Amino acid sequence: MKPEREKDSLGELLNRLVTKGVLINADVIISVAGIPLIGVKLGAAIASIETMLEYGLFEELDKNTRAWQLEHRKTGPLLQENEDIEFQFYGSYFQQSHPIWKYCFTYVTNRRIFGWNKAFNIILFEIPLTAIRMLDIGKGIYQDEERDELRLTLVNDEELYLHSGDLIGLYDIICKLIPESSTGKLISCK
Amino acid sequence: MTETDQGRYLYLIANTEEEINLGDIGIGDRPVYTIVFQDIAAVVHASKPEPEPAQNEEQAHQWILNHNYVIDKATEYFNTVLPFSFGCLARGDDEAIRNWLQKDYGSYKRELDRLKNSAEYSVQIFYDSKILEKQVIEAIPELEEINNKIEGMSKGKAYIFKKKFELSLKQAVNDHLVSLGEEFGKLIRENVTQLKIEEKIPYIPEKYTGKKLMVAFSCLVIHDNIERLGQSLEKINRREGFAVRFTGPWAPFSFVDLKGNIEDET
Repeated sequence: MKPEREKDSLGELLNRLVTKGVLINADVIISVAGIPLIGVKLGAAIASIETMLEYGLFEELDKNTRAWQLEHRKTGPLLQENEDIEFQFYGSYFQQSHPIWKYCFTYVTNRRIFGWNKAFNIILFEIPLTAIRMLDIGKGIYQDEERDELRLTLVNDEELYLHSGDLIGLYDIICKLIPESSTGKLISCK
Repeated sequence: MTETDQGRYLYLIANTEEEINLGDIGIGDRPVYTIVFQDIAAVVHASKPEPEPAQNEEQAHQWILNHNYVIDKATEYFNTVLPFSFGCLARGDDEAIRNWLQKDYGSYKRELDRLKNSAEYSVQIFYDSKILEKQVIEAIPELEEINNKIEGMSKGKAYIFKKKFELSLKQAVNDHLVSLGEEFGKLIRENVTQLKIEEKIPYIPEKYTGKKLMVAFSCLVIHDNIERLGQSLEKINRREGFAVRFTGPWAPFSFVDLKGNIEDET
C-alpha cells in the first residue's frame, strides 16, 4: 500500500504541528478542545531555550505571554452568592437532547450541578438540586465496555447521565445535598 | 528600524547555505526567507515581537495549515528540515537568529545529517472486534463448546456461563492481539530507522469508526525503504478483521532530537 497524505486534514496536522516539533509547548495558548487562541509558545524548548534566553530572544516575550495568558485564563467558574462547591471532577455527561457523551469539569454545589468549559468559561449544563426527582446508578455501555453511570431523573422527566471516576462518592454527595423538602423525592438504592 | 523587524516567526531549520526568499507563503501572506549560518539556515518570516492571537478558530486553523504548507514547500526545496512546532516566535532580528544558529550549530547539523533522506510516516493498525472474536471462538474449541451449551441452559445458569464465556473470550482476544502485535511489529521494524509508539491519536478518519485501534506508530523511514514498508503494511491490511492507515510523508516532527538522546521505544 502507498502512504496517503491528507494534506488539509486539520486533525492530523494539529497533532503534529502543535504537540511536536523542535519546540514543545508547555506555555502554548491553545485549548485542547480545538479552539486555539494562539499567541506564541515559549519557555519550554527542549534544548536551546537557555541559549535563546542568553541572547535575549525570548525573555521579554515570555513575560508578555504569561501576562496575556493569566489575564485570559479563567481558573474556576463563577459561583453565586453563598454557593459552595461540594464536589468537583473531570468527567462526562450525557443529555437526551444531545445524545453523545461529552467531557467537562463538573461541579456539585449546595445549589446546583453544572458542567463548565474552562477554555471558554461557559456553563454547559446546569441542574438546580431542587429539580432532581430521582437518582440512581445503572449500567451503561460506553465504547463497547459496560460501566456504571449515574442517572438523574428531573422533575420534568428529562434525564441526565453523569460519569466520574468516583461515581459512588458523587452519588453520596448529591443524595446528601438534595433538599429534604423537595416533594416526591425518590432516591433509589445503590 | 520598524517594529516588524524585531521578531522572527520560526518555521524550521534547513540544510542549506542559500540565502533565498521562498515567496509570500508565510502566515498572513508574509514573505518567508532563510537566515543562513554557514551551511544551515532558519526559515522565518519577520513579525512584530509579540504574540498575535488568532481572532477566531477558523483563522487559527488557517494558520496551522499555513505553517504546514511552508514546511512542505521547504522540504521539497531543501530535502531535510527540522520543523518547529506551530507558534514559535523569537525576539530579535536576523543577526540575533544567526547568532543563535551559530551557538547550537553542532546539534542542528548533527540532526540534519541524521535525518537526511528520511521522512516521518504514521502507521495505525485498527481491528474489528466482532471479527476477531469470531476468529478466536473458532480457534479455541473450549470456548465454542461453552457458547453452544449456553443455549440449552436455564436462565440463571445461562447468565453465569455467559459472563464466564465473555471473560474468557476477552482474555483470548487480548492474547491473540498481543501475539499479532509482535508479528506486526516485526514486519514494520524491518523497514524503519526508528519507531515510536504513539499513545494518543486525537484524530481518526470516519472510515475507521466502529473499529478499535490496536497500535499507532510514528516511523522514521529512509526514502529507499518506503516501498518495502508499504508491502509489509499491505500484508497486515489484507488480513481479515484488520485495517491499516498509512500516512505521510511528514517532516520528522517526532524524531528531531537536539539533545541526542531520543530513545527508540520499540
